[in-house]
Amino acid sequence: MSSVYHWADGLLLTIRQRGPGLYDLRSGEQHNLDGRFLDTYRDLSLGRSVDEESEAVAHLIGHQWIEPGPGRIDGLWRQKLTFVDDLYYRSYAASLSPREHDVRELLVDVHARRKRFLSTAGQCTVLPETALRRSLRVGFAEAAGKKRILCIGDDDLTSVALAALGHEVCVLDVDDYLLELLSSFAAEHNLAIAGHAVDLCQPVDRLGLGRFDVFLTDPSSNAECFALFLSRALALLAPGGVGFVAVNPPAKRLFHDMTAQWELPVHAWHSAHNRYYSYLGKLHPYLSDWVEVRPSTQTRLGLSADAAYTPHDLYSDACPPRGPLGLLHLDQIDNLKYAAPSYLRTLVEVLARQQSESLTGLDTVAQEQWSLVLAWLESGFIALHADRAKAQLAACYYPHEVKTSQEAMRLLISAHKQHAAKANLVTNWGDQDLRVR
Amino acid sequence: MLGLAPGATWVRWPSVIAVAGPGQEPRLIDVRWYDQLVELTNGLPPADSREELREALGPYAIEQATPEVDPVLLAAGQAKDRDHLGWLPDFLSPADETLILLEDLWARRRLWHSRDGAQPTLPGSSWYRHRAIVAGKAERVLLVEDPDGLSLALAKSHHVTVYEPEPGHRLWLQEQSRRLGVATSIEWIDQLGAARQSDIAVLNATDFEPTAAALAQAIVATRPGGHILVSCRSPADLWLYAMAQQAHLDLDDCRREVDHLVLPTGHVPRGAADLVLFRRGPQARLDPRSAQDPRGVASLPYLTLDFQSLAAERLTADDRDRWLDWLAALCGTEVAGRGHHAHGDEDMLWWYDQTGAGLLANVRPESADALVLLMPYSRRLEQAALCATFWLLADEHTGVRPRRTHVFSDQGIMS
Repeated sequence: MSSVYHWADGLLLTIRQRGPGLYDLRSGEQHNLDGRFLDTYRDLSLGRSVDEESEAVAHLIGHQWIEPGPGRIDGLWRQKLTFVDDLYYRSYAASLSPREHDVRELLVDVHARRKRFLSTAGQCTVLPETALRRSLRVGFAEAAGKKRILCIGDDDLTSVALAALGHEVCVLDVDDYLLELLSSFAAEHNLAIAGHAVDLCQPVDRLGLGRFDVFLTDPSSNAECFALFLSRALALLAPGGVGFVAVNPPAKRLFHDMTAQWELPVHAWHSAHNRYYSYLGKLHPYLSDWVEVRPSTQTRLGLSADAAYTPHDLYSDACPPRGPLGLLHLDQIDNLKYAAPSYLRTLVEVLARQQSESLTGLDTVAQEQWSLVLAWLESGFIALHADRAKAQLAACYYPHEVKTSQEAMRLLISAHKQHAAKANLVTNWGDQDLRVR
Repeated sequence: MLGLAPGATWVRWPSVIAVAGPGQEPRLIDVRWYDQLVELTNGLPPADSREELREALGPYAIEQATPEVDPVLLAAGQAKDRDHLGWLPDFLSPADETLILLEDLWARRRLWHSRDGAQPTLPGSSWYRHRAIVAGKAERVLLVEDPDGLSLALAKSHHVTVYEPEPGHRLWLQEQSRRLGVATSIEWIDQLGAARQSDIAVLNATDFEPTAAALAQAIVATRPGGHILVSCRSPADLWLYAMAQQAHLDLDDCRREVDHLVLPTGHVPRGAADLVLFRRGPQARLDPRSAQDPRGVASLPYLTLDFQSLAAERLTADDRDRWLDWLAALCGTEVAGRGHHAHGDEDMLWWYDQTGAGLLANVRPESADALVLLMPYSRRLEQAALCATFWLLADEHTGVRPRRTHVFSDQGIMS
């Protein structure tokens, strides 16, 4: 029997490389789902009719992960989103008009309606307040003139804000769930948004070249994705049109070189303009700049509008963060005599052996109050700094890998810290920092 | 008439002066030139040793007086403001006279001092702080350090008390206050304990202990019902809120990532500080000696600087050696050891001084990046490493991976 169901409040579906997962905002737990039922999960994300007797639905009902009724704003998700969004929104909210506040509320609503995230397509979503600021760069239709706006990909849902400002918006995206969400939300709120399921790797000449006044896009920051997304966007842009592109700061040089080669003038560059969140209901560490380009008659495209493209690695980052560090700080260490260089050297040799690494070099600095031992390995280094005056020992191993780091920590702690009052572990961008007092 | 070339600035370090400007190689000159450089910067011809000074300055010396408002610096400051504060919808719209004043001050400032406490910020960030203070309807303001000249903008409409520990910078601020006709609205104090009661105190969260001391005194110097505005940069967010709670301060507001630090090199390392506003209730007080750090992370044993998109053509072995030379010169301490270890495409550099402060740098010329580990952490060395890198190894595309705050109030906010 078919009935309408939706995911329960506080549950968010993510489609990851390793399969679908359900994240529970209430408990912080993640549940792996059966990868055979992606269509059912999509229907539930939209609050559509599903077969109650099917294996997938029965399982979800059993866990109380879905509830009867059509899709709606997830109250708990909205509350979490408002909290993280406010972290930035408060910085300028006082300067906004009531209508701008209303647009922001609408954005929070549509973001809170969204129940599925497609990590496999490089989706990383900006905060509603960022979508609002992006749209305000285009302006209200009454002031800036009604624009025909193209969103090349719109998992950020910026189209909702642009349409709410009075513009006519066209969204091209590969995510059919997102397009259906936008379509139903636009219908409910009388917004001029037209969505098209388009694979940008296919020719875009049939979409009507040169018909948009403005484009917005947030591609993965690598040469391939920049070239594909911008080529398509520029082909569809009318003469005198304006484009906005998100650029990850480490890829600034790459983007600059590409625009120089294409003779694509950069009109304005706004650092750290775009702030993102994760489906965990927290800020995402990623941020990006917002770059305004204004093509001239000399501007060339990297890829012709009528040409197909075979992608290699569209969604990887051209400037991946480097390997994480393992850091350890021991305060009030035992037996200061063992913090002398000779002993520390032995220790790093043991550490290297433990990690099946051969030493490629060893440097030591021995001073009256402190010592430093640097062990150079095939894959990185180990550094030990002992401050005998302060009875402290600091260690760094690079790159950090969980298993080898744990072994290293165990060895250092057993050698220098028999009794501890307190230990704190901090992780930041993959770096692991353990402090023991 | 001898003057300083357009766009050039100079920075006083403990035992050396660094001079830099657009299109020229930065250079180090002897600190004995300090007084003559102050005169030259103020448009006064140096009394003696003119030729020697010209030689020391090299291409930074010009045959005309240093302009009061440097158009090159002004344009650069305005561009940086637009770039970094432009995400705020109301920034520059309409043009604001406070922002114009602060950008004008920026363009008059040729002399910088390396400092351990509060660091300078962009004129646009000072404008933002000014706006936050004005919105609070304060009449009397206490600034615990004033690296930017915010006091000069506030003094147009407020009575300002300033504790500015850097004597050379304080002299410059006092001179500017006379020029702007606001000297009578500013009271300069030598010790924070001497501050009269204000409606709002503004301070920076630096290290745990100095922040606790400054916060304790700011509470005493702020009337009940007044506010304390703290610029908070990672990792101070890990302990600031707990410290404020111990002091019985109420969290009123937080403006995230608006306070953009600017280096004496003129570069803006990515990752801005938050402005956190606390209300000072009648029960507020803090004994700095008993301030607790519940997360156990108040000490900063090490810090990493992750430089991205360095200038590939400036990463030769000679450049890297020169970088180590500059670290030593800027820190002004005796070197205990330095070296490098090449491994495949990577180069490991290390440098330590006699005090035990030092760093390791993993430089990858191929991908034009460098990971610098300061272990143990030293604020002075952090400044030196940032400045030396931006002066010697960087170009307009270079950045540092942002240090963003992870905590708001008592909650972790970053995935």
